[in-house]
Amino acid sequence: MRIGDYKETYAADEAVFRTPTSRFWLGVLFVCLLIFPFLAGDYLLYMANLVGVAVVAAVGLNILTGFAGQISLGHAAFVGIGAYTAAILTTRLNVPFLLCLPLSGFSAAFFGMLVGGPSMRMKGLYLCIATLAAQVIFEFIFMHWESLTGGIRGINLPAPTVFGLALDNEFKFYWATLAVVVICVTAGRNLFRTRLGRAFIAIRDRDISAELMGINLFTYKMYAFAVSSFMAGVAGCLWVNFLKTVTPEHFPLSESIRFLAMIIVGGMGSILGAIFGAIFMTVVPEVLTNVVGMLAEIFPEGMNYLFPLQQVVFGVLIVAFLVFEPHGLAEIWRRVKDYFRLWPFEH
Amino acid sequence: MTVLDNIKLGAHAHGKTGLFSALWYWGSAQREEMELRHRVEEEVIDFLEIEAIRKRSVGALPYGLQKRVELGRALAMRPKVLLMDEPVAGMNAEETEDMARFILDINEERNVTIVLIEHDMKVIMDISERVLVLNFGRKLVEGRPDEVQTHPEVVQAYLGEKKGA
Amino acid sequence: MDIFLQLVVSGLAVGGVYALIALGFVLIYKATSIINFATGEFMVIGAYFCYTAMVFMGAPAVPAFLIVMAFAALLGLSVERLILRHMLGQPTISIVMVTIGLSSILMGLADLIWGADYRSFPPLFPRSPIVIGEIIIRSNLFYGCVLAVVAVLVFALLFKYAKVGVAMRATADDQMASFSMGINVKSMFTLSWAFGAIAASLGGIIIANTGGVHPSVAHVGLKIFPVVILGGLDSIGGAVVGGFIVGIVENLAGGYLDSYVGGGAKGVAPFVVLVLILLVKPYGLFGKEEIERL
Repeated sequence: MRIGDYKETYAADEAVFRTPTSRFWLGVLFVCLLIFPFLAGDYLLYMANLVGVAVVAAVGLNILTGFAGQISLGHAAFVGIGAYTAAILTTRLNVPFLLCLPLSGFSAAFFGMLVGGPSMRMKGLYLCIATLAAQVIFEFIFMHWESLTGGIRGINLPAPTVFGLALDNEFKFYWATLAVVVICVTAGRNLFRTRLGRAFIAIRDRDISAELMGINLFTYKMYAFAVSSFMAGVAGCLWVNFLKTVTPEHFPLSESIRFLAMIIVGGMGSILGAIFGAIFMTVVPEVLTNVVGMLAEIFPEGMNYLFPLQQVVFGVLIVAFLVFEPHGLAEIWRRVKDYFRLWPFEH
Repeated sequence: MTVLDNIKLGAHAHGKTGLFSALWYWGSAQREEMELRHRVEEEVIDFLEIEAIRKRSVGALPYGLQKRVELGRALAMRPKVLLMDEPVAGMNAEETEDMARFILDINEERNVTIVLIEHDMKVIMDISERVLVLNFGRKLVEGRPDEVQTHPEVVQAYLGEKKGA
Repeated sequence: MDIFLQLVVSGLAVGGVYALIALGFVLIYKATSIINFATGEFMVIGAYFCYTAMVFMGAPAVPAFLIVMAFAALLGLSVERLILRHMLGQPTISIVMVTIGLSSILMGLADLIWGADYRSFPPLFPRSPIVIGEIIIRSNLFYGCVLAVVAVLVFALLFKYAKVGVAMRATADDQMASFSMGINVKSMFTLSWAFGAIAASLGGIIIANTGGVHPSVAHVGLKIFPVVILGGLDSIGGAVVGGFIVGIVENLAGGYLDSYVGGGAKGVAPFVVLVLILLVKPYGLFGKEEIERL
């Protein structure tokens, strides 16, 4: 229970975690994240790594789509560009993992800006379809530029090493993922404490008014595309180093849609929402698989229905959130917090 | 966006924070944001008496307050000249009085030239130093409010002639 | 040269089908400003309905078509009524995502009901190929295109002359004005979804007739985007022209480029053209330029 929040400085009021209670729980969360790998088995750690990658990519997409309002159906392609950049740099030039991370990001950011460039002239649905075209074209390039990407066979790479330590299992890789997640989430949150973040939101809400406020639309849309695809690229680099293989099939349109679904379910225009959404959309299909797997012991044909069932659940989740809770899990979380703020005295 | 963010947005052009310092935040970006917050609080929020609503979402505010926030956003730009298009249109008496008071204060305390278009004659006559009357795009008269008010051409254009005169 | 002509003509034939599907898409967009990412799934479901009617219920082709059209209309209007009605006035991203979610649901359901096996379609048309001079067209393509063009014409006439069509055009032009003239705007929304679904299922049947029924028929739905963007999202004439252009472009790309890029050119070429067109004309070839005011 915490009642009243009095602040004596503006700095205290501008802080992200404004009350001692929220700072306390943040600390608890960190301790949990640090203890988690020592308690969890390989499977949970595997899931944690995948969630981490999804969080980085979803935060990136939410910056572009949720905050700046530019719909992208090509986010998976940028994750793919990051992944391929990392794979190629590692296998051909022996670039170390720590250097690969930012380089993959920059490479994805470059292509992101290339795709985002025309967004100065296109808006809304037209831009959305232009990014769809980018997705299809990049997928084609991954598949058919065989000398560079290895075509359908893809590229295999060795386990990454950091300061001579090979990150060759889920436990060791967890720390790399955690570090990247913390950096990306912090950077994303920071962005929206400054004039850049406000400019993004202004562009989303009404681009003409934003321009009247002296915001250069082109520059800021480019920033949004760059930051977003940078994070996608970093996520791709993590992903490829975790799974140690990359093929074109990993980055289809449906993956782009999955990222969009994450920010819808989690909450558009909220960093926390991206995190929630990434966790939710990674864990739910996995839970579903396990449930169907258990049922399959009773009904042997059950596994045949798994894939279509997943599709239906995925679709229902998206539609249900859009219709009933358009602000996503982040909003539900806020309501729960508000409820407990004065608990047990409701009014 | 909250009222506070909206007003800060007005100061966008005065900011210098770039992409990388924004992502890092601590250091120059934070310094700039804190200075901005102080400035906005002193120059705008305190002045417009909107302390109580600074964390509220603008879209959910009543019309009169929305207009006040709009004025705040313009003030955050630190303008030399302020152009206002019907600042009190659609407001009730109390809101109109508040707005008129702010306009006068901005003009007197900050030496900002204000050019405004308005249909509310009372407000115009009360707060203007000079009035320019237009009739179908043609300039009729320009001068002090009391001069303009009684000028025959204005009376004729806006009130009409006496029948049979 | 022969090959070229051959490619162009079969491109035109495929393009006719694209034009029909795109027409359904544009109808929905014009009336409700919703772009329907579930077009491909409407096609799949239409094809499955037709397959069920003909194979399991033994209906001949024409009654089967009527059944499919009735069910498609029902599907379209229930989708509008149950889901999209709630989305009126929501931001673009929500509307895009809701139709994407819808497509996922429909696809999963189709898979659950009919399974993912490949099924060959019962023959609808005479089998002997059509020969015009030195050009040979597969009969499926030819009759499919004829059917599609007839359907497009019927829709076009409906819009031009029928009372309902005029009301729908009026709604698309100005919702407020049509509302005040006594047009039931909401039922026009519903109707446009019904028409859109019918057009998509007819297209689905034609496509499935050439390649068999399978959930992957939905991939053709993606090609609708180059078509409608080429034409401009809100132009019916543009949709038809775009359909033919995309049909020809993908056939030419498939015929000439595949050997250089190792296959797949057919799928990607329309999107390359799409990007190029958007760079020059951001609202498509015939799209209405949106002028914004504060």
